[in-house]
Amino acid sequence: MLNNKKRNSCCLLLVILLTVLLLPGCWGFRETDQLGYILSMGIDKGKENIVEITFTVAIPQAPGGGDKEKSTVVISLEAASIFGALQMADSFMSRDMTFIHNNMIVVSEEIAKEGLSKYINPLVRSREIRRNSYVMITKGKAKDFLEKNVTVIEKYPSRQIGMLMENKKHVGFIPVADIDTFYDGATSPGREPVVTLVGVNQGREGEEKDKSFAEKVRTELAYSAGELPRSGANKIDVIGTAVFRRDKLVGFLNGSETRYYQMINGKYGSAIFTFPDPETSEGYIVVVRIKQAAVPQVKMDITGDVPQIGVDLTLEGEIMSIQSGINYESQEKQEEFKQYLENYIATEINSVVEKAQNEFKSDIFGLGDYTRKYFWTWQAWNDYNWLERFPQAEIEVRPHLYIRRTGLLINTTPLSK
Amino acid sequence: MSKQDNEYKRDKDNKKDNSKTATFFQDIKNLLSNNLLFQGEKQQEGFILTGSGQQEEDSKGEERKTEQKKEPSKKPVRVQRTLPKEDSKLHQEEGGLGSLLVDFQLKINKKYVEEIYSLPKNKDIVLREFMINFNPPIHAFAVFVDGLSDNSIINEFVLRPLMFFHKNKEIGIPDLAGFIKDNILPGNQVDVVENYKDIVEKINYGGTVVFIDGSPKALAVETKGWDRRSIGKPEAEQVIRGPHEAFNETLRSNTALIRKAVRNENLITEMFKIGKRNKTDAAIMYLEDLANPTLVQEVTRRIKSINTDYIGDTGVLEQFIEDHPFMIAPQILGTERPDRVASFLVEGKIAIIVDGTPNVLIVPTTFFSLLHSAEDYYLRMPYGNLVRLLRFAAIFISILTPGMYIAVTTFHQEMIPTDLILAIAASRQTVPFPTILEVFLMEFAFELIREAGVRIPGVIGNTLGIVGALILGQAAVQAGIVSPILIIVVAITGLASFAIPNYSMSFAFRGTRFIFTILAAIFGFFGISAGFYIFLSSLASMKSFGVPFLAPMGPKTRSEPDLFYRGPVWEMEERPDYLNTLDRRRQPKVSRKWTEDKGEENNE
Repeated sequence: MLNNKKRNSCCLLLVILLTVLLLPGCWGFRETDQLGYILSMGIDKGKENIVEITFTVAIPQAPGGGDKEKSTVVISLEAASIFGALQMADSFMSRDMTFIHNNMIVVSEEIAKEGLSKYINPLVRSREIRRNSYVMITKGKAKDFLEKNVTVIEKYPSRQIGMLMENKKHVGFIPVADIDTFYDGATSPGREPVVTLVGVNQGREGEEKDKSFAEKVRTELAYSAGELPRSGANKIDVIGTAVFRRDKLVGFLNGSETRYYQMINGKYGSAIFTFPDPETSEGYIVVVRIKQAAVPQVKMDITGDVPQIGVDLTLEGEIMSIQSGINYESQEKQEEFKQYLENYIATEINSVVEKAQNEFKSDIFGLGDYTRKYFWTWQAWNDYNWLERFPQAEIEVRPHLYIRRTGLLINTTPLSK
Repeated sequence: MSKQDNEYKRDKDNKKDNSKTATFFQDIKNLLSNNLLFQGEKQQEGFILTGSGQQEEDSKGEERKTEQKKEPSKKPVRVQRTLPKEDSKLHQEEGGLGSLLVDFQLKINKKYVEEIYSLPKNKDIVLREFMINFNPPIHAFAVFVDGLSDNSIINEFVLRPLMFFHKNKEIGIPDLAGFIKDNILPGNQVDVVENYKDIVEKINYGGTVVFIDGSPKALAVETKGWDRRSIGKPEAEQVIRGPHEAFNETLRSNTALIRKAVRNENLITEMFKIGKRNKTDAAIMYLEDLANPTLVQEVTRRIKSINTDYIGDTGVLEQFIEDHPFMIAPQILGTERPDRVASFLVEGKIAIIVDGTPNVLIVPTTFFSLLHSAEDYYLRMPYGNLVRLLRFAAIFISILTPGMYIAVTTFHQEMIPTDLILAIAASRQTVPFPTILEVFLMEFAFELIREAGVRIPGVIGNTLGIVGALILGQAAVQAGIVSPILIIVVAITGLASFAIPNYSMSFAFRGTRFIFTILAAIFGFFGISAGFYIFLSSLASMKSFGVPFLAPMGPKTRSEPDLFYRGPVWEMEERPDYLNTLDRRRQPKVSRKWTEDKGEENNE
């Protein structure tokens, strides 16, 4: 009797196990060498069909093998959608194309102006697409950008872009945007999305421009991607911000502006700033490494019609270079010097705020998120309609700079006469 | 065939005959059973152990034996001396010797011995006849097994005193055997025996038994002395720090090794005889003032209840007494280190020793003691912990690595860095087999090397490493049969499995590894997690002599800092909670008295 019972329960257990295991088993058994890994993807306007999709597909190379071989192949197809293009690629690519290792989506300016959510937001639903794929806007065609992106040090563009975005976050002029943040920004009532600006460098030489010394120093980094006066290395630039209102592209911030913009939303890390020397009239500069030391403190008053907003930034500075040799690090001069830098930064930041309010009419700083705490319900907050009120808001940004370090010198020894 | 046909015909005839009386169904049944079912006698070809010819011979032999048995009782016209009936009933089932007693007449005793040991045929039993130097001399003979007993002891301390005993003693001493034992034989263990069962036992275990004419008792002298392996180094449980002694194959020296380590008068050694034909000596050892009496009772009950032919090793005994023979993990710990046994004994556990095997069993055993090594405790706390941490990592590596590799590369390619997946893809490009086959191929090859390494004769053992490393590692990759990354996976799995300190447990992990590999190949990570759940539940469901296998983790009870993490030695204040020992406390709260004394000194 007992034995029989035991056997029965054993059988039952086996059946349950089998069904449990067989029903939900992931039947997606695919060998690594069966897949074609798409590393980056570009979206352009199509001629014959709606969009032209460009894929960068990895050609797997054994480590230590010959490194002169091409590591990627770029293919472009016209289709109605991204997934349609993926399907189409199966007609001539031997491997199953997959997005699982795609980490970059480049969109042309043209498409971005029409509205990006049509293309980016549906990707959130996909099982294969990584939500942390970087989204980028390029002036010109995305296809060009992907074709021109020939990695120099890295083997695959995925690593190159990953390192560029992750390691250089702190320099401030590369805003990091991925599908997730774009989706969030485009759908949130409290902020607007931004996207990294990328471009193909034209390889132009520096040309004569009629700029004052102070202006030259000020516009040191005031370039958008593709405009940098440089040569050599990779053909692509990643600098500047593409600003959106809801999902439509409304303008760009150049590298210099992007740094100041990121100081307000707190994503700025630490970067090197060049300022004109405060005491000598011409020809000398001071270089200071400025670091964001604390989360920006936002205080606001939204009782009136016009929201009053004050943003306090805590910055720390390290003096890197004083060309004139004037002893700014000394006790007496430090306060004065600090004041000069604070004012300089404040002017720049407020001009960026002004640009966002007047030119873009887009709350890229995410200040709307801070208003949320004044409302009891989501509905009430939603009804407050912050994004419409943002351009009228009175915003004052007050940077507080503390000179913490002066490098390895405590004063500059003047030249002997 | 022809015989079969004949039988078939006969069956048919039978059927005809019976058809009047038997029912139709009966016929069908007969027909079926005659033609379809297995019938031993019909087999004509091949070697059959219980063939008819041999059977006849056997029965003849039996007849002969019985005749012989009857002989001594017939000729001297004497009744065999036997034990009272009640006792003899007890002994009857253990063979015919049970009730037989030593006879007064030496001649008859000699007959008995010759019969018991089939003497002229059996060459390593020595029957030495001599005269005891009394006045007048008394006939006597000694019996011993050549090789099991020490010849010099027999010469010096048995034969010499008996034969050259010069005092002219008169015969007529009432207890001759007792007298000889007390006055003549200088051996340290001399017993007066009268039961043949005891006599045979003594002789079979190296003793010498002296029969004396006219005495109804014989003398059993302890003359054990066979060639034994000296105490050597542990083979499987080596340590760098700690004692280098290991058990050998002799029960008595093993118990001595333990007693040497646990110098306590409460250390009890209970002896058993296991096995019907062989009567292997076995002993259990425990500390009487510590070990839970019910546990001792249970261990004794299980060992005593075993009714089998031959137990050659603790490995066999383990299988006889363990709780879950079909579970994957061992529930009894076997060790060859006396120091380890001692450390378990003072915890309140019980050691089981079997003669002829250098492995001692420890019961009850928990999962964690199977994963600890003796050296953990001998090293300083930080080092011991480092080693332990490494070992626990090795467990997961040895079980899961091949499965993980398969799951990641065939189901969850998105989980590994892009560069790595591309490297794996590139290295697999020339491999024509699916990953699972590749893994099995290499794992199989590895297990093959391992098994061959154990069996291979020592002289050519060195070549094995070269063959394994070169042929399988290098050439297989170059031939494009496996990918280089897989070699790393297999190698690290193999290494990790060697890091498991217990041999049985290591086997268990090696086995589960294949299950996880298959699960991963079918279901990916889902399969691994489901399999792991079942694996853990199976461990949690087991018990070893009444103690949950995962104690004190599942069920969670109070425990000393000695599971994953090994605390400082002075913090281990109590014995394991799950043992319910008679004395809980191992050491007082403050076992390092000097830390307190220092303050007093300063005060002075």
